[in-house]
This record gives sequence, C-alpha cells and structure tokens, in this order.
Amino acid sequence: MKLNPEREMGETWLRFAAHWIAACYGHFLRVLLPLLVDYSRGSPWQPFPRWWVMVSFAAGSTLVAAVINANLPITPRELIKSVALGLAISSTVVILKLV
Amino acid sequence: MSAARGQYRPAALLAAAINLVCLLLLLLTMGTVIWALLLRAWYETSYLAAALVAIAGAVVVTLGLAQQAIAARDRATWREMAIWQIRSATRKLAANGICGADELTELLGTEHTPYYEHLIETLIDDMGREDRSLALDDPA
Repeated sequence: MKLNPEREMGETWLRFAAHWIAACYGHFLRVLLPLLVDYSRGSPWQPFPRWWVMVSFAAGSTLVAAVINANLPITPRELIKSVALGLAISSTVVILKLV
Repeated sequence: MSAARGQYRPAALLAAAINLVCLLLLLLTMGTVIWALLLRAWYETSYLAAALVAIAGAVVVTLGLAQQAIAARDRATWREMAIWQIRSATRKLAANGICGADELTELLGTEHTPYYEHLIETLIDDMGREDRSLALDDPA
C-alpha cells in the first residue's frame, strides 16, 4: 500500500528501535545530570531509586516517546528530537511529582 | 540529489550543517550518559551493567545511522537514474515524432507534481526490489 507522503512517513521496527534508544538517552540524561553536577562540586553520593522503580519509569516514558516518534527517519536531526522528547516526558513526570 | 550532480544549493548545505550539529549533540548526549553511568558504577558496581547496555545502545544507534545513510544515498542514486531514464525516453519519443515533448510534460508533469512523484517513487521501489533480489540470488 502506498503512503500519502504529505501525511505519513511510515513506521518500521527499525525506526521504533532507534528512536527508543535515543529516548532512553534523553531520559537518563535527566536522571544522571544531577549526579554529574554534584560530582563536580565534590559530593558524588546521590540517593538513587531502587532499580525496578528506575527501570519501570524509564520504560514508561521512553516507550511513549518512541511510539510518538516511530515514523521519523533515522537521521541525527530526528534522533535528537527523540532525545528531547524522552527528556521532556521524564521531566514532566518529575515536575508533577508522580515518581 | 544535488550533491550527485556536483551542485550544492545553500538549502542543502544548511540541512547538512544542521544534521552535523545534531550528530555532534547526539554523540555529546550519549557520551555524557555513558560517562555518568561509569561514574555511578565507580560507587555502585551494579551500575556497570547499565553502562554496558548504554555503550551497546550507542553502538546500535551509530550502526543504524550509517545503514540509513547508505540507504539514503542508494535512493538518491536510483532517483537520478529514474529521472534520467524518463528524460531519455521523452527525448527519444520526441525525436521519433511519436509524441511531442510538451505533450509528454503535460501527461507526466514535472518534478514535484504528484503524478511525476508517484512515478519516480514506483521506479525507485522497483529498483530497490531488484537490488535486494539480486543480493539474495548472488551465489558468492
């Protein structure tokens, strides 16, 4: 079936996987940046959540980002959007104090 | 496409520059995350697994990017070939007096008109399929 190029770009598993990995980087950038900032000030002991909390939160936010972006081509320009979306979704959840 | 003809339009250059900046940003992001995970692993050894997963993810994304870049280059080449074939056929028909060039242009349209675009896309898809089946049949 031909896609209408004006409206659809086509979803593939490869695109989904690439954007999911990119979204994971965005999510963990939000999780880990405070650690890097504290490390430069000399206090690297951050209390970290239990691993299953971290993994399920990461899975939730990054899968939402990947589903939304799964139809974008795999170029650096599109992957950076997935990074930003993963960061944005995980930040929103933190700002709303849901985790 | 313009790159294949050796002509660089400003818009194409700008797009390439933006892509390059995005690639650097992406590498910076991946590097930061991997570094932070390794830092964390220094205090909490179990995070070493997470760091290894992150490194594997970076490798997969880089390979995916390279594969897509190759696919895009193939596609651009096939597009050039399809356009060249259509132009050649138009010229031949016009030269033999079967059909006027203007008449054909009216029928097919020019670049960026929907029918012409669909025609090119179909030809590119055919070339891609042929390419894949050749690769599968290749006994070597």
